[in-house]
Amino acid sequence: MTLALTMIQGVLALAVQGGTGTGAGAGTTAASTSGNFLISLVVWLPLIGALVILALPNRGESDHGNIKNVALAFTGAPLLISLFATWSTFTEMGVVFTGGYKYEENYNWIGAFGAHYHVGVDGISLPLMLLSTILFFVAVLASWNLKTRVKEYFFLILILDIGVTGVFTAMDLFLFFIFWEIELIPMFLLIILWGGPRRVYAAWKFLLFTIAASALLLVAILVLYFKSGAGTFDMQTLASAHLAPEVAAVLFWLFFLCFAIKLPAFGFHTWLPDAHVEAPTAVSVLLAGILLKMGGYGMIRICVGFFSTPAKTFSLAILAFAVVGILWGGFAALVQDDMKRMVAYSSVSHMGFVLLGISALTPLALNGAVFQLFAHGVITGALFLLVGLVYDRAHTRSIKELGGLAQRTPYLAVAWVLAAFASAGLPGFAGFIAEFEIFLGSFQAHHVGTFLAVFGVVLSAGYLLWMLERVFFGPLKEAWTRLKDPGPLELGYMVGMLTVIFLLGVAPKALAQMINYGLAPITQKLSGG
Amino acid sequence: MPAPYTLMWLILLLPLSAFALMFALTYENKRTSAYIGIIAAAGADIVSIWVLFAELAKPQHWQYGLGIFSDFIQYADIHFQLGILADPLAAMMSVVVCSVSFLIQVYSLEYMRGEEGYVRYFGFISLFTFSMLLLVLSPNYFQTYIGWELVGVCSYLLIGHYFKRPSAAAAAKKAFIVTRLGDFPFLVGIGYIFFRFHGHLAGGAADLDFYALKPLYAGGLVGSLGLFLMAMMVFSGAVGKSAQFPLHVWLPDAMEGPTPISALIHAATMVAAGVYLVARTYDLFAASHQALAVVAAIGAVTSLMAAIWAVAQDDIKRIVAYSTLSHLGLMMFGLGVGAYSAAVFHLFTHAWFKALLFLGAGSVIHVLHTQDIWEMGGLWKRMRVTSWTMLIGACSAAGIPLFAGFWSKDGIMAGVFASQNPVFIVVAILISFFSALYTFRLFFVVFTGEPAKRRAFDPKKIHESSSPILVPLVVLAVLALLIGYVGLPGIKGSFTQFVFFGRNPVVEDVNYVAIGASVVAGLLGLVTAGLFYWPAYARFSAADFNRRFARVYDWSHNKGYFDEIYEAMFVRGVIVNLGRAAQWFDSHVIDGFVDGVADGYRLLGDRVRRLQSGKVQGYAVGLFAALVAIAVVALIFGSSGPLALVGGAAR
Repeated sequence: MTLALTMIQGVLALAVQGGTGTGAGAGTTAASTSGNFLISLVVWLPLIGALVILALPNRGESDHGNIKNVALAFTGAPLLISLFATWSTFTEMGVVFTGGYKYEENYNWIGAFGAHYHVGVDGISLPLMLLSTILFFVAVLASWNLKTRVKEYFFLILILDIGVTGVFTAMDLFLFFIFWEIELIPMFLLIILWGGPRRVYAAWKFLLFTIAASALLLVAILVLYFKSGAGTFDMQTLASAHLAPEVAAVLFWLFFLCFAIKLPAFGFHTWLPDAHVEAPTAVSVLLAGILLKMGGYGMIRICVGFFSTPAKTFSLAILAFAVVGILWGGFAALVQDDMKRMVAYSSVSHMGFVLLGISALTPLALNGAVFQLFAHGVITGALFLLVGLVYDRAHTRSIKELGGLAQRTPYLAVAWVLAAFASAGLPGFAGFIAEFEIFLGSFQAHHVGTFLAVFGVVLSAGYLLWMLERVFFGPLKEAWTRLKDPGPLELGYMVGMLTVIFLLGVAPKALAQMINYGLAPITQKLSGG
Repeated sequence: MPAPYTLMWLILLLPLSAFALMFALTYENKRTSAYIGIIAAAGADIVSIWVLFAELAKPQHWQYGLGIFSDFIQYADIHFQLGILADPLAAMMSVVVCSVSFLIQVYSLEYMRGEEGYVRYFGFISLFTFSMLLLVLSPNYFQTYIGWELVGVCSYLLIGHYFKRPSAAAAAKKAFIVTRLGDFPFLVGIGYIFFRFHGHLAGGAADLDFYALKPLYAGGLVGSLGLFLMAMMVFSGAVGKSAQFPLHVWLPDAMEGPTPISALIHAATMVAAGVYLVARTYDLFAASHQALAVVAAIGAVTSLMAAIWAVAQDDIKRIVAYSTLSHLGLMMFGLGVGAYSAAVFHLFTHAWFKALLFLGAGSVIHVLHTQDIWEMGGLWKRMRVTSWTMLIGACSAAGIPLFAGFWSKDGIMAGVFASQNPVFIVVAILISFFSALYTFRLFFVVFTGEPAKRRAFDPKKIHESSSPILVPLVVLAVLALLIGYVGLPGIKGSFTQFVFFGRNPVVEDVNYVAIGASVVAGLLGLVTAGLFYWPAYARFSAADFNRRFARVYDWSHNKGYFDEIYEAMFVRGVIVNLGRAAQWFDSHVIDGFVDGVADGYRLLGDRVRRLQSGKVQGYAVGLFAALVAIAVVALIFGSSGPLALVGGAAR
C-alpha cells in the first residue's frame, strides 16, 4: 500500500495544479473554463490506471499486489481530488454555486451534431461525484483479498468508475449517454465472472433490464434533440427548451422509465435482488451505492429539471410507484433468509423514499431526495460490506443458520448495529436527515400517500432489528465458535464509512445547503410554472 | 439571560461527554467509568436544580440555539434548530431525569458488580441521560423527535443488555418496533404541523418551535377535523412511548433489562416522555375537545386494564411494570379531563416512588436471585431498610393519604370528578381500588409471613443489601414520603401555581368527595390485599379465588391475551404473509414476465435465423413489403403521425 501512497502523491500534485485554475476563477463562477481539468482528472484517471493494469504482468502473488496498488492509487487520487473540490467549495458555497456550475470544462467534440465534451459539477452532482469516488476507493479495499483473475477484475472496476463519475459530471446529454453505456458492460462482466452460483442468470437479467433502459434513454435523447430544434446536446440549454406539452409528456415518461429501471422503482426491481445476491461484495457495494443513484440523479436532473410541467401532472403516478415500492421492498425484506437479499430489498424500499421526494416536488422534499441518494449510498454500501464480512467468515448468509455471532465477533456486531440503526433512519446518522426532509416535504404535497410511505420506517426497523436478533444475539450456535473478528483493514474501511454516515447525521447543514444551491434552478422552474 | 440559564448546555454536554469518554478511553477500567458517569449526572443535576430554583423564584421562559447546532439544517426558508428551552415544565422534568439517573448509577455500582458489560451499561446510561435531556429541553418538534428516537435506541440497547438471552434480545426488538408503530404517525403529524404553520411563525422563530406554535393551533388556520387529526398523530407517538393501550405490550417484556434500567427508563423517565409530550404540546390538545376525550379514554382504559392484570402477576418486576402502565394511564387520564397541573404533578411524584419500588424490588432480587414473589416472603425482619422503604413506596403508589402519590393522584381524581362523566368516575374509583390491591398484595407476599421454601436456598442467608443499594433507596423513600407537600392543593405558591396551563395559575378547590371516594377505594383495596395475602390476617385463600373465577384469573394473568392476538393477527397473519406475497409476486409474476420475454426473444431469434436463407429473391420481397408498409403509414397519418415524433425536425 505504500506504493499506492507514492503514486497518489504524484497525482495530487497534478490535481492541485488543475485546481488552481479554478481557485482564481471561482469568484467569477461558471464561465471560466481555461486551465481547469479537475473533473476530467476524476473521470479519466481510472482509465490511466486501467491501462497501467493492462500493461502489468499477472503471474503471482506480488504481481497481484502491484495491480491492487495501482487500482488503489487510481481510485484514491480521484477521491482526494473530490474531497479537495468539495472542501474548496464549502468555504464560498454561495459565491460558487449562484451561477450554477463549478469546475466547468467545455470543448467542441463532434461538431457535426453539436456534441461537446462538457463537464462540471453543481450542488447536486458534486456530492454524488464525491460519493462515487469514496465507494470506488472502498470497493478496491474490500477486494483486497481477491485471488482469481485479479487483473481483469480491477481493470473492469476502473472502467466502471469512468462511466459512473462521468454520468454525474456530464453537462452534455450525448456525453451523458456515452458514460451511461460505459458503465453497463463492466458491471455485466463483474457479475458473470466473479459472481455466485446463479451468476449467469443474474447477469443476463441485469443486462436485459439495463439495455431496455438504455434503449429508452437513447430514443428519449434523440427525440429531445430533434424536437427541441436547438441543435445541441447541452443540458442547460435543453432544460429550458420549449416543447409541445404532449412531446414533453412523452419524453418525461421515456426518461422516467429508463431511470425507474435503474433506480429501481417498483415493477422494474426484480433484477436487483438477483444481481446483488450473485455479485461479489465490492460489486454489490458499487451497484447499490452508486449505480442506483444514477437513476435517482437522472430523474431529478432530467425528468424534473427538464420537464417540470409533466412532472407536476404525473406527480400522483410517481407517488404510487414510490409508496408501493417502499412498502413492497419493506415487506419483502422481512421474509428474506439471505442477508444480502434482505439488504437488496431494503434498497428497493429506501430508493422509494427518493421517488417519494421526487413526486412531491417541494424544495424540502427534493433536497431530501438528493440527500437520500448520498446517505443511502454510504449506508447501503456499509451494509453490503458488512454482509460480505459475515460471509467471508461464516461462508453463509442464511439468517436461519447464523446466530449469536456477537459473542465471537463483537466489533463486527457493533458495526452491524450502527449500520442497521443508520439504515433504519435513526437520528445521529445521515439517513435520518434525508428521511425527515423527504417526509416533511412530501406531506406538503401528498397527505395520505406520505402517511402510507412513512410506514416504511416501521418495516425497516422490523427487518433490520429482527435480523440483528437472529444473527448476532441469543446463544452462540455451535458452528460459529471459531469465527474471528475483522482485521485492521476491514475495520479501517468500516470505521471510515460509519464516520461519513455519522458526520452527515450530526452536521448535515453544509450538504443540505450545497444541494439547495444545485436544486435552485429546478425549484425556480417548478414554482415559476 | 440570568446565570443558570446560560449554563444549561452543560446539562446536555456532561452526560454526552461521559458516554464518549467511557467508550473512547476508559472502556477497560470499570470503576473509573462508573464514576465518570456518576459525576457527569451529578454535575448535570446541580445545574438542573439551580435552574429549577430560578424557575421557582420567578417562572420564566428562555430559549436559545445550541452553538454550532443552532442552524442544524438551514437553507432558503427552512430552519431546523437544536436548542435549549427553559420553562417550569422543562426545569421540573430535567431535575427528575438527572436525579434519578444519578441515583440509579450509584445503585448500579453494587447491583451490576461482576456483571458482563459493566462499562457498556454505564455508557449507555449516560447516552440515555443525554438523549432524554435533549428531549426534555427541546424547544421544537424537530429536536423532540431526535431525542424521542434516541431514547428509543438507548432503551433497545439497555433492554438487550443480556443479549445472549434470547428473551432479552426479543424484548429489546419488540420494544423498539412497537414504539415505532406509534412514532410513524407522530412523524407524519410533525409533517402536518410543518405544512400548516410553516410560514406563519412569528419572525425569527425556527421551524416547528413550540412557543411560536402555541398561539397558532387555535388561530383558525386549521379546521377542527385537522386539529383533531394533528393532535391524534402527536398523541400516537405518546401512546407508543408511554405504553398506552393498544401499544402497551412492549413494556412488561422490557423488564428483561437489568432492574435499575427498569427504574430509570421504564418507570421514571422515558415512558413518561409520552405524558411530557402531551403536556408540552397541550395547546394543540386544548384546541380540540375530541382529542382530549380520546386521550382521557385511552388513559382510563390503559390504567384500569393494567391495574387488573397486575393483581394476577407472579413476577415482582412485572407487577411493578403493570403498576407503571396503570399510573401512566392515570396521567393521560388526568391530561384528558383537563387536570393539567395534577397530571404533571403525578408525573413528578410517580418518578420518585416508582423508581423506589423498582430499586426496592432490585434489592430483593439481588439478594434472593429470583423474581417470583411466591419464592420470597418473610423479608420484613431480614431486610429492614429495604422493607421500610418499600412500604413507603407502596403507600405512595397506592395513594394512601399524606404520602406523595396521594397528593398528585387526588388532583387527578378531582379533575375526573369535575368532568362529571359517570363512566370516568367509576373507572377512576376502580383504578384506586386495584392499585392499592396489587401494590399491597406485592408487599404482603414478599415481606410478611415466613420465607418460602425453595430447593437449594437457605433462608438464613438472606441479608440486607449493601450501602450503594440502600442509600438511593433511602433518598427516594424520603422523597416519596415528602415531595407531595410541594403540591398541597389550594395553597398559593404550590406546584399547581408553578407548572400550570394557560395564562394564570388557578387555585384549584379541594374536592373532598373525590378525595374521599379515592381514599376509601384505596383502603378497601389495602384491606382486601391483607385479607388474602397477609398470612397473619388472611381470611381468604387466593388460590381458591383464582380457581373459582378461573376465567377472570386466566384473562388477567395472560394480560388479556393481547400478545397472542397481536402475534397471530398481525405478525404471523398479516405481515409475514404480505412479505411472502410480495416475494411470490416478484418471482412468479414479474420475473415470469421477464423470463418469458427472454424466452420469447430466444424463440424469435430462432425463427429470424431461418429467414436468413441466403436467397436474394426472399430479401427483395421483404424489402418491397417494408417500403409499402412505410408508405401506407405515411399516407394515413401524414406528418402529424408517430413518424413525425422522430422525424419532425428533418422537415
